Amino acid sequence: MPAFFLMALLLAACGPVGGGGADGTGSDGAIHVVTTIAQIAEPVSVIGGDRVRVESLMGPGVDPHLYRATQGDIRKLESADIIFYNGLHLEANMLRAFEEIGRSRPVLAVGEAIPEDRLLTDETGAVDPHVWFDIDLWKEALAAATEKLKELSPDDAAFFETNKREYFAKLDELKDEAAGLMSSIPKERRLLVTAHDAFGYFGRMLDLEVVGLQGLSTEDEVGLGDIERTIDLLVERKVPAVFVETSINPKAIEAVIEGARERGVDVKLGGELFSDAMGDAGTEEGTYIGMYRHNVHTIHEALAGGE
Amino acid sequence: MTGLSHNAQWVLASALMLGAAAGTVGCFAYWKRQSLMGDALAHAALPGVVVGYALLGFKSLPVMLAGAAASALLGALAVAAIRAHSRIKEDTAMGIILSVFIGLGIMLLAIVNRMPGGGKSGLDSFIFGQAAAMVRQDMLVMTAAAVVVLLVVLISFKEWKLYLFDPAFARGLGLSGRLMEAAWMTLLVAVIVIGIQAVGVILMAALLIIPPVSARSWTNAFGRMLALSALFGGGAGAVGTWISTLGDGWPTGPFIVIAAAGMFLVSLLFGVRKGLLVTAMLRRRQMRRLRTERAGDVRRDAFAEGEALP
Amino acid sequence: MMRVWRKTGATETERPDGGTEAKDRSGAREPDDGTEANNLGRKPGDGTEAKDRSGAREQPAGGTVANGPHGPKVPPGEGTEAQWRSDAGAPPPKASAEPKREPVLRVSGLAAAYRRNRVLEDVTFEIMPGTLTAVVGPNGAGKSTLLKTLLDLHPRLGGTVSFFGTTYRNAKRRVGYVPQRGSVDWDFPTDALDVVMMGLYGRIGWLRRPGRRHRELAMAALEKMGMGAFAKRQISELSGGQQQRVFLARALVQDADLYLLDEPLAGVDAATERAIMELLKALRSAGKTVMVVHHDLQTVEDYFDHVLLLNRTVVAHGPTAEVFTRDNLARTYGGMLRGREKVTG
Repeated sequence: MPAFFLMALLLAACGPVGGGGADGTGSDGAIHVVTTIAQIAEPVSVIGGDRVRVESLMGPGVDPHLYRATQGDIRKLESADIIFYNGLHLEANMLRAFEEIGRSRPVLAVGEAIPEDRLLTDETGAVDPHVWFDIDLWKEALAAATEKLKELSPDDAAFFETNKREYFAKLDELKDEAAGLMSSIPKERRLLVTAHDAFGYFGRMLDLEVVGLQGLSTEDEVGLGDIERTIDLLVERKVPAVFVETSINPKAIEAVIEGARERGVDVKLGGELFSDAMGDAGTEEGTYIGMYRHNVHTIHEALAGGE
Repeated sequence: MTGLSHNAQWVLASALMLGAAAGTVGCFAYWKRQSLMGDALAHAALPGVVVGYALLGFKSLPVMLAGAAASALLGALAVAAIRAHSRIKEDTAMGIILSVFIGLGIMLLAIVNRMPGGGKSGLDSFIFGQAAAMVRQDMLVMTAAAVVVLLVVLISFKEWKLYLFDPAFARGLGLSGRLMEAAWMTLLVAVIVIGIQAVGVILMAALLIIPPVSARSWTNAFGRMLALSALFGGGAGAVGTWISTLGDGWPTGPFIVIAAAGMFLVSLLFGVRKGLLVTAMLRRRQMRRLRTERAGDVRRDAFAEGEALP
Repeated sequence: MMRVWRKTGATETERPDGGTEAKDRSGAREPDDGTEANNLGRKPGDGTEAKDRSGAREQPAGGTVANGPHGPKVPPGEGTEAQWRSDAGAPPPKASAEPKREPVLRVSGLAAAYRRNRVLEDVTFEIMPGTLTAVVGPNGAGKSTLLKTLLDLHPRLGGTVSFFGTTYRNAKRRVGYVPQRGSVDWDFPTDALDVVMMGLYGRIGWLRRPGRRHRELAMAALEKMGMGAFAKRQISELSGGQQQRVFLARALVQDADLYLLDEPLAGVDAATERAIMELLKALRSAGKTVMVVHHDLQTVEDYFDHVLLLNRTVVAHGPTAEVFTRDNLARTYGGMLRGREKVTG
């Protein structure tokens, strides 16, 4: 709720802006931005204010690893003034589409704007694409996006910059809040077990150990080895809770819970986390900050709540 | 079973039971010359699953399974209608239904993905399945399915044999063709629906099609072929599961298919009745016999007059 | 409520006598099971039932026993066994040898279509007991369709059919059908004895296994067709003639009163042809009736005492000597006949 008012205030504070520039703007003067995931779209809509009209192709509950573009999506992309996507192989099935579109309009993989040495990789050397969970890294990605917006509409550069600064201030607050909550979890309980390896950056930023049942991508089918390994971990570390994700079939996690129960360890389902997708548009969890906060609170309750 | 975790035991038992049930039902499909039907219906079930979700707005397994069953039955009716009212052959009709329905299912999935509201997760898993995530309840359901199939087969064994061999004559004798067809369709759809929510469409098709073909190479008796089909299906489930426990992160579903395929290969080559090896050996023996006889003929003709040997 | 096996008025322990018990069951309308997927909308049996109930019922006069709804009660196993054991080649004389001869099969105005073509139009004829009738006509004349339509295996567009004075459904027990050899998948994993035993499944009923007695009956039928040595042979290994004999043994074991055979002599060797015709003639001598869709005009006069010339409708029907004339053949075959010299009349 507070975020809502904040956003409303932000928008109101922007004030009316003079007529849009002639370059690359839509008929109503606003820049038409199309993104893949909402984690990009929503912050950009805040930063851009009423100077942008933002759409995201993937809605709540959609798995970007598996997503395939439809003709409607292509049309949306073609009608856009600028396109942002995450990159780093998150939208694995859409790369060709971006290549094509990139010939005729500006396309930016915001995740790839982050310096490589700050990125995480797994044992096989694959890059972890879930960078939005590291608030600092995400700020860099959003900054890169903002620069592109400024290029498209130089008259609004100052406007964008102001909004960005204000938004980033909120992000810093969010980071502090998260760090505080996570650090209140006893050390031995700081183990986050989820359906797939989406929370690597989250764990790194907030000093949590993170284990995903599946690997970095949901394209692989879960194996018995994955399940058993996770159960061993739960039993050994006496983890109180595991988490499902909104965009993933919970069956595998449920099998883990039941398997642990057979071994005498009562693991609770700590709740649903937003990993690759955010909540419904118009809700708190539909915003980047709201989504992040939901995750933090859910994790905190499940792990820190005394047992 | 020692050394296998609880989860592995559940998965193994579930896969075994499901494989046995699918192998048996697949044997019927084989003799109705409708092997592809299982594949077609498994694919046809997908739109029903999605609709089942979309109508409610949230995931409810019974509703989605009911949707799957309804959709699969619709597919079966469509195949029958195409055959009845056009010149299109049955396997072509099944191919059409398979493609159309799965296309419809994927399209509906795409639409549903754009609808507001979360919880759509897992609709995709009906395609590939998550065999490794089966738990005790799955084991109970699969076992029940296998028992039901077994009962149906045992109780009406000779009726099935007659119906599959000569349905026209069967009708003449008074065997209700409609009842047999309905029973068969019910069994098939039930096994498919139970199977795809756990192991997905592709694995179900494999379990329905491969075991009967493997069994054929080993026997010339219908009853024994049914039993062997069940054995190979269950065996593939169990062996595939066990193999998938050996490696880290090895997915169970694909290994079950590989196990089934391996059994097929062995059957093809070494099957006692129709295996390639046996056929080759028999042929060689016949040729050798012929050669000796011919040699004998030549000698005999040299001595006697016109006493040609068979 | 559907039953697995249709009760046709007789169970394993009874011998059907005339049409009596059949009459009691004519009211029981079972959901149709004879329609193929090619359902053209008409439920076969409608026309017949209506006509039957309207009073055109055939009453087999005299000689029949009416002891309750299912005929004389025989303790399970005994009566039948005694009767079967006495069957050393000739079935026991039928109690229903009525002085007044009624047709075993009466067809009136029968019509049927195959896809969009009307292959049977206004077909009317009667088959009397103890005859051996050939159904001949050009290809596409509807011969096979005729048999199938009579047996409710193909939808009927119109007309009436009565077997032994009642519907086919009620008389099923007394009608034996030998379909075309090509209608079956001979690769099916089973042996000859098994196939013959299938003829008994209706009598065995649901939930019961074939017993030793049934096996003996089947063996006897196989031996009658000269196939005793092949009892355990896979049917896929049999020659065309041997397969046909197995089919006939299967029909024999049903012990029907009327046999309908669809091209039994097609593609068989000479020995098998002789064996089959001997059997059919023996059946006739025993008072049974045989109707055969026959493909070879050359042998009609030698084999069959009656002939039905069919080309979408009945061109002529009657004793071979009277009906099998050049004129009739010309009318049946149009211009398709070649070099047919040896005709009577």
